[in-house]
Amino acid sequence: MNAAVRPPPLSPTELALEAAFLAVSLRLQLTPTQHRLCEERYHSLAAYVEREGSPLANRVLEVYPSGSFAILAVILGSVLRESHDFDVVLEIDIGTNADPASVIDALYQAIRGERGSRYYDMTRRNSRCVTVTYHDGVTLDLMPVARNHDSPPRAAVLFHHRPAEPGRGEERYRKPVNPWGFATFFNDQVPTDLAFAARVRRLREALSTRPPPSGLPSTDKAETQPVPPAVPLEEKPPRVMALQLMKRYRDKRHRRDDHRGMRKPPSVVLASLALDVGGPGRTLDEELLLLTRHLLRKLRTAIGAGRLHEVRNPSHPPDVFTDRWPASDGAQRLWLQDLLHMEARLVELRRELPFPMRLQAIFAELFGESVASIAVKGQMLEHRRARASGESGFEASGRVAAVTVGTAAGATVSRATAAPPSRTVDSVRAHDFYGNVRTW
Amino acid sequence: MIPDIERQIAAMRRDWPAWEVVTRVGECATWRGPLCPTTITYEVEIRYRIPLAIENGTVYTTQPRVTVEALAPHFLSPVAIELHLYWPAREDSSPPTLCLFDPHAHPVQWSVEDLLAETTLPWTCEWLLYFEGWLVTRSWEGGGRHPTPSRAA
Repeated sequence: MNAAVRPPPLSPTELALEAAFLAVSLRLQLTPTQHRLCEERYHSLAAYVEREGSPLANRVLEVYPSGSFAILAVILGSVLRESHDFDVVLEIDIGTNADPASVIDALYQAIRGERGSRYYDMTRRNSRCVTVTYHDGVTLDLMPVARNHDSPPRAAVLFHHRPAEPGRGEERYRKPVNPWGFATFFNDQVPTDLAFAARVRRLREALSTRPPPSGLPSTDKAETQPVPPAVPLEEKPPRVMALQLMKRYRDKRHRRDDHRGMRKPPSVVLASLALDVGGPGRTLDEELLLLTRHLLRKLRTAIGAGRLHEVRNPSHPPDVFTDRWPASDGAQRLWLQDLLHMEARLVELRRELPFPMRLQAIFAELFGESVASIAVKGQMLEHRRARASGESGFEASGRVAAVTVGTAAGATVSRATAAPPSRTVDSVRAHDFYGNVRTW
Repeated sequence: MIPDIERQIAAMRRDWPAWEVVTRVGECATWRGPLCPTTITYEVEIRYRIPLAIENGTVYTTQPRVTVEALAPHFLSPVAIELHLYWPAREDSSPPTLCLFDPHAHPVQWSVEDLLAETTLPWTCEWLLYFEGWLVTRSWEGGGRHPTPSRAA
C-alpha cells in the first residue's frame, strides 16, 4: 500500500525567509483606501466617457477592469509615491473593422474634453489606449475594443494606431484580444493554499498592516462591471503573490541604465506563464523560484530554437500576448539575464539564512530600497513568533534551529524538520529582554 | 539547589562544546566562545560567580555578565538606546553587558539555580539575532521592556 508522503513541516529558517518575502509582498499591496479611490475613479471615468455631448455618448457597451487588477496582481509601482496602474477595457459599439486611429482619437476626445474640463490636462493618447494620470501618480489606462461576436464570450478586437514619427512609419492595425477571458481563466486556475493563508494572516497581524478590506461598497451601473473586490491579503494565492514580486523585480530592473528605453515583458505574459509553473511551492520564495525557473525554461527554448518567445492567451489563442515584446532576440536575452540574476539571488537566500544586512542588500537589489528593511522586520517577527511558540531553539553554533523532541528509542527528531539533528535543540525558556538606561 | 561552578562548566561543555573556560578562580569562571545566529560569528564572553550562601544578592547583582566586545562601537550610536543592555557608569570603562531577562519579573525568569547553558546561552543567541535585525531596521523586534527610571535596578 502506498502511503501518501507528507512533506516535512517548514523549518524555522524556511519560515523566517518566507516571512521576509511576505513582508515585502504585503507592502506592495494596495491599501483599502487606495482600492476604494481606484474604484471611484473607475466609475467616474466610465460615466464621463458616456456623458452627454461626448463623442462616445451611448456607444459604450460595457466597461470592465482588466490586466493586473482583474487577476488581483496589481502592485504599487512606487511604494514611496504609493502609485499604481489600473487597466480598463471599454467595449464600444463599433465594427471590428473600424479605423484604429479614429477609435483611439474618439476615446481621447471623449476623455480629454474641452479646455478646462476635468481630465483635459491629465489625458494622454497612446497607441492602444488613453491614459489618465492623476495628481498622486496613479494612472488609469482605458483601452477601447470592439466585440467580436463570432468568437468566444467577450473576445474582441483592439485598435493600434501610432502616427508616423521621424525615423518611424505610421502603425495602424487591429488585434484580437480577450482580456476578460484571460482574467476569468487565470482566476479559475490559480489554487489557494490554506496553510499559506494562515502564515500571511499571522505576519500581517504582526506587522500591524491595516486590516484587509471586505465588502467594499460598489457603485456599478448597468454597463459598468464592478472592480474586483480587494480580497483579504491572506486569500491571495501564493502564485499571485510570487507574480507580484516578479513584476516588482522586472520594474526595478528596467530602471537600470542598461535597460533604459527597453520595453518590459508585459505583465500578462508573466501571468500567463505563471499558470504553467507546476508546483505548488511550499513557501512564497519557492513559488518565486519555480516561477523564475519556468520563465527561464521558456526563454531558453525560444532562444535555442532561434525564434522570439511567443505566449498566447490560453482562453483565446488568436490573442498573442507577446506581439510587442520581445521585439528582438536582444530583448529576450536581456530578460534572460535578469531572470538568471533573480535565480542566483534566490538560491543564495535559500541556501543559508544570511546576515540581515546581506538580506537587506539582496532585497534592495531585487525589489528596491523602500521595501528592503521591512523584509528584515518580517524575518525578525517570525523568529520571535517561532521562539515564543516553542518551535525554534538554537544549535550549539548559535544558529536558529527547529526544536527537537525525544523518541521512544532515545533518538531525537526535529519538531519542524525531517532530518534528525546532531544535537538536541531545546525550546528557549520564556524571558523578556530588559536593561538600564544609559545616563551619559 | 544551586549548581556549583563545576556543574555549570560541565553543562556548558555538554551543550556548547566550542566554548572554553578561560579563567577559573574558586566559584568564579569566565567562558569565551563563538555564536553565529546567521552568518556572522561573534566572540562572546560570559563571567559568572556563584554567590556565597551568606550573600543576600538579587538576581540583578548575581546574574552572569555577558559581553560582546566587537559590538561595543555599535552601542555608542545615539539610536542604541533601544538596545537591551546594562550600561556601566560613565567613569567605568568596562563595556555594556547584555540584558537577557527581566530581574523584576514574576514568576522569576532566571535564578542562581539555573544552568547558564540552558538560559544565558540561548538567550544570548536570541539577543544577537535581534541585534542583527536592529542593525537594519533600527527597531528591536525581540520584545522586552525597559525599566521606568524609579526601578532602574
